[in-house]
Amino acid sequence: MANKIDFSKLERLTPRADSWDKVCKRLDAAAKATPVGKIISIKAWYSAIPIAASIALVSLTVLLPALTHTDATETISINSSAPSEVMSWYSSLGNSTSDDFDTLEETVGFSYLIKE
Amino acid sequence: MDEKVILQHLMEGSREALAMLWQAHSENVLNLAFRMLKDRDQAEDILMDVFVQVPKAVQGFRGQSALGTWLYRLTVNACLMKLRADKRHRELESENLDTIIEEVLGEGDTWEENFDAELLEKGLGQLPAETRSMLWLKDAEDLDVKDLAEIYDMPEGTIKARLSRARHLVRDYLKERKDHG
Repeated sequence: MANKIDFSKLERLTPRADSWDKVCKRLDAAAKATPVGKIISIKAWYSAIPIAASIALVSLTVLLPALTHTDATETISINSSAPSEVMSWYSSLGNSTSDDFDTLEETVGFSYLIKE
Repeated sequence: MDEKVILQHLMEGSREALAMLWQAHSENVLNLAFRMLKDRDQAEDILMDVFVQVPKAVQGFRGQSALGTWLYRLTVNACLMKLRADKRHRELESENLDTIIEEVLGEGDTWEENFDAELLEKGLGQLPAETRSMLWLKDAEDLDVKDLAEIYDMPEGTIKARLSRARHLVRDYLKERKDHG
């Protein structure tokens, strides 16, 4: 193009002889300083944190009810939990010939209820 | 070796591929950096910086342009960052350039290119670093306007206008110095 500026008279540089070696040394030093596989970049962290939090939340939602689950129909024997006074009173119900209704002493019954 | 093959090897971290890239483009990168920074040592530093960052930067290169064009882009960006960091960027801003150029437009293009190199260096020194590098890539390295648009991330029309204005400014400077010399 006739309109061009003629740069042919300007000095054209060539890279110094040791420049390539310096590039290689810098690359080697960088490779030693940052072994592959041990780096987790900041950007990776930025995306990993919300993903990990989401996974943890979903896991807890699924696992917590399972860990705290108890059998709603589990049978608990009264023999193993009630005190002897209560058992004695319970077994004698209906066996007496007396017309009086044999009531359980209040303190025994109350303490049993509190315990339960 | 085909550029796509070189690119593939570069992405795999091949030092040989990087050496081939160095052989093919290091001189162009150095001269572009020298045109922008006007300092040989700093231009060498930019050259090395650019090639040190290639193995990492190439991972984000999609291969939509030539490797040379991509390297020019890295170089221009590195030089602009260097100039900004050094706070030495006291050259004419584009707006000032526009004002000056308006005064010289229309004087004709019958300029004879018989000026000396030193005067041309001074004339180029009147341009902002980015425009100077643009002119260098177009007129000395024969890059297309399309490539320049990609390197500088500007519309082709803007590139053409800036090149035209830059040429006028340099020629006007040279003419003035010659008339007074």
